[in-house]
Amino acid sequence: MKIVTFRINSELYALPVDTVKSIERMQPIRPVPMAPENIVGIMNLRGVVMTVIDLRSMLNMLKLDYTPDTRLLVIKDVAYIVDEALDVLEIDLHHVEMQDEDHPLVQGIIQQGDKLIVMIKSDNL
Amino acid sequence: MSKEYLSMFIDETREHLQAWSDGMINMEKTGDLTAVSTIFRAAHTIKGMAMTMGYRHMGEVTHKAENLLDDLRNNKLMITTPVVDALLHALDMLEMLLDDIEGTEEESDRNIQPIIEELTAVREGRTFAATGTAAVQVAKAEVAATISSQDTPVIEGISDQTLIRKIAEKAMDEDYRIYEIQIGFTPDCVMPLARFAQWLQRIDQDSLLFTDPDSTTLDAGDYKGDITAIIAAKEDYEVVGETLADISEVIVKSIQEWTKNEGNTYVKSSNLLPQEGHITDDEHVRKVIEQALKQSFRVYEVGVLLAETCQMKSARIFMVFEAIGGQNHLLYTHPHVQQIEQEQMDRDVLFVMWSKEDLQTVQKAIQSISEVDLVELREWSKEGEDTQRGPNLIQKTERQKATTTEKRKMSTVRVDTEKLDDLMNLVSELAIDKTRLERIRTEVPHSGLSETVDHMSRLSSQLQELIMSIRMVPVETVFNRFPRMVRDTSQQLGKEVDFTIVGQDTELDRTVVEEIGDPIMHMLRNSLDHGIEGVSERRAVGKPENGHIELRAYAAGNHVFIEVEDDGHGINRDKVFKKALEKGLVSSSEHLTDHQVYQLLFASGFSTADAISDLSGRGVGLDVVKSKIESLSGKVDVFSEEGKGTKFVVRLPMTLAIMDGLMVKVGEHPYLIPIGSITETGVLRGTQTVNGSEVVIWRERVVPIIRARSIFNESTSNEEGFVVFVNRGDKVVGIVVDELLGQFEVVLKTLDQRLKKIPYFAGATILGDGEVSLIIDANAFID
Repeated sequence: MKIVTFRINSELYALPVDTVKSIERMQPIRPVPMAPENIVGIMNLRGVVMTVIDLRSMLNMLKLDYTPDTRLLVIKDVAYIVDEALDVLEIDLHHVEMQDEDHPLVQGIIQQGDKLIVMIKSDNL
Repeated sequence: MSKEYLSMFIDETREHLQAWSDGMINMEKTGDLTAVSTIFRAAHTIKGMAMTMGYRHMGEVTHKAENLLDDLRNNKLMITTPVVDALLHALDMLEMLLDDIEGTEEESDRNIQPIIEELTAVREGRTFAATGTAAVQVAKAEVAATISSQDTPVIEGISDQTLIRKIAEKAMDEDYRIYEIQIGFTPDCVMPLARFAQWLQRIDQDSLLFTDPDSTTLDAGDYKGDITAIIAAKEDYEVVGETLADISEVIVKSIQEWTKNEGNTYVKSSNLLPQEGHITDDEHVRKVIEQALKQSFRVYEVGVLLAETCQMKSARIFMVFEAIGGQNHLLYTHPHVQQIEQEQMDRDVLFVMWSKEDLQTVQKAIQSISEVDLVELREWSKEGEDTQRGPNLIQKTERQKATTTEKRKMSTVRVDTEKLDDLMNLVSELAIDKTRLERIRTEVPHSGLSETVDHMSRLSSQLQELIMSIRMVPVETVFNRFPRMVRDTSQQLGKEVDFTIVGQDTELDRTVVEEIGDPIMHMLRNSLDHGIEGVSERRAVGKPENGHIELRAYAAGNHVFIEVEDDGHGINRDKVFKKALEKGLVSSSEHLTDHQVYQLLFASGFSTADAISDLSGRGVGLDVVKSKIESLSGKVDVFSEEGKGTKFVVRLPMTLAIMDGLMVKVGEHPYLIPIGSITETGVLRGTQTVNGSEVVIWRERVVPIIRARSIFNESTSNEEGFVVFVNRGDKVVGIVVDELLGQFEVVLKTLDQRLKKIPYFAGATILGDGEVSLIIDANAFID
């Protein structure tokens, strides 16, 4: 299976490649008053008004300023902010070490060389 | 069954069901028998299609309905309410079956037996008209009863059967002539049985004595071969032949008449159709062919068929002659070249030609001519002493070419609505780039750029208009279900109502049209239930016995108005006011105008019907109408004059996708307030506090004001600013904003499900500079 890996803080995360529609550079975001906490706002992505969600807040991490590396992963008409988008890797599903099924976001851990990659449940995004 | 056919089947069946429904209403109203034919045709087509698709239930119901309709058509049965009801029930059942098919692609296992029985029962209540073919009917019955097994076949073939022979005998005694007709179909005929049935419609069904294959095989729907039919008629064979003549895709292979011989045996005449001997039977033609073959030329026999739409037949044929090398290559033509020149011909031309080219080259040359379909191509060859024709080398698939090109002339295509939405998005994106370019132009002086941008602007506006117009559909698509509903409801209520529809061609955005069906239905029910009086009451006040309801639609400016008007007893102001008091919607001290009182009808939980009826008197209805219309950015109003009638007026934006709005700034961010809800704007001054809320005096009224900054969580408050007064009905609220930026026309984009829950926003839009702005829902500020 092919996965897209990305970074939040110093941790590596991944999503199946076919769930990610596109990876975009940071764009101006219009905040929406009274929106749920993890929704940063809305933006114009090539003529489509898209909701932007900070993946940091979903993973209960502190909000940070955006850097030139900050990227948006577009999944099911929502853009998710990540610190940096990395590679597309081919992995063997058997190497995904399944985690506690009840975890809302984490599906499992993949060992890739000396690195650990957290696989995100794309269905729950 | 492939998806493509299925959706075609569903669409077409729906259209026919609609025609059926319209026809029913028409028929009941006018007693007009032409409507019966329309319904008959609809039923018949549905039957054919359903059988072809293998939907037995639909086929069976339509079959029974068709029988009933046929009796109506032939005046064997009177149009009575039970008959109409039975047909309407059949229609309902068919709609349900179709809905099931649409949902699951399979025909569901609904119980159609009651419908079948009802249709049969009302049909059996018929009275025979004792004329014409009824005699044949009787003959059929009598013969069937008296037939004995000792009878021996006299005429060979299908007519060996004693029963048919006996019936024929009986009919001949009644001065009928018996014809045996063999019918075939063109290879490209899609539904041969429908064609056959088309013929049956023309002749009296009772005059049909026999078919081979039998009706069970034919009803099963997938038979494609020749059909032999035996019919009894008083006319001579030419008249009988004519009934078949203009049915397309049908080939009459032979017509034979049965005649009595001495000693009560029967003989079949030879084929009565004029037989055209094959041209090459002609001795002269054969000789010419032999000559050409002797000189080692190749000889081809070619049959071409001109498209039905072909305007210049002879020109096309001469183009064919040119393509094969000129007229001197022709050995023989049918019709004669002179006749071709004078356009004295049908669509088909046969000719024999010589050539040095091989078969493929000739074939290609002929096929390159448009509107001409090559249907036959044979090569002549010499075998010893004998010259003979080869087999036809043109395949069926190639033959279909002309038919498909004809179909391509259809001027409409079906497009997935999602694609239209995508297109709309792309075009609005283009509009944004256009605005950006226009700005860049002012910064970069360059005449070429300037011209190009101008041109692009024009194109982009045209494109936008075009897309908008594509999204528009006539309101007819929802209006056409109401005649039936009004008919049923008025019958249920025991009221007599004439219903008219005006302006069904008025167009609205597709998304709006899809939503307005229910609100209109509620208003119509309201008029039927509460508006129109009973017959006796109407008579007492000197009104015509039949009440009248008109549903009309018309466009004005950027809006479409839909009105439901009745000539009933109008709204009783006092009754409404009293009821509103009981419900605590108003206080007795309040002084309201008539119009204000009428608007109370839209309040939730309001109902003035003395007896709660099955229909609209449940207290839900008008408030639902109001909220639905408002969710479509529309407005609903009611006008009434006691004793004269009531009128509901709905105003809808022509499209939801484009709206006019006032751009304002709150803190850092722009917001758009729809022009439709704005009453006035002004500079903020002189606020006061009443009961803990901030108000201003505006046009001698105390109007509450709401600071957008505090609602939108802007940390600082601003003492200065502007007030945008927004209203809904008589309620006015002032929204305080920091700046007014001007009026804009924008494309509305819906928000994500998670953001839709926030009441203050109706959507978002993309501005000329590519930035996103939220669109404010003023209603949220008023409540």
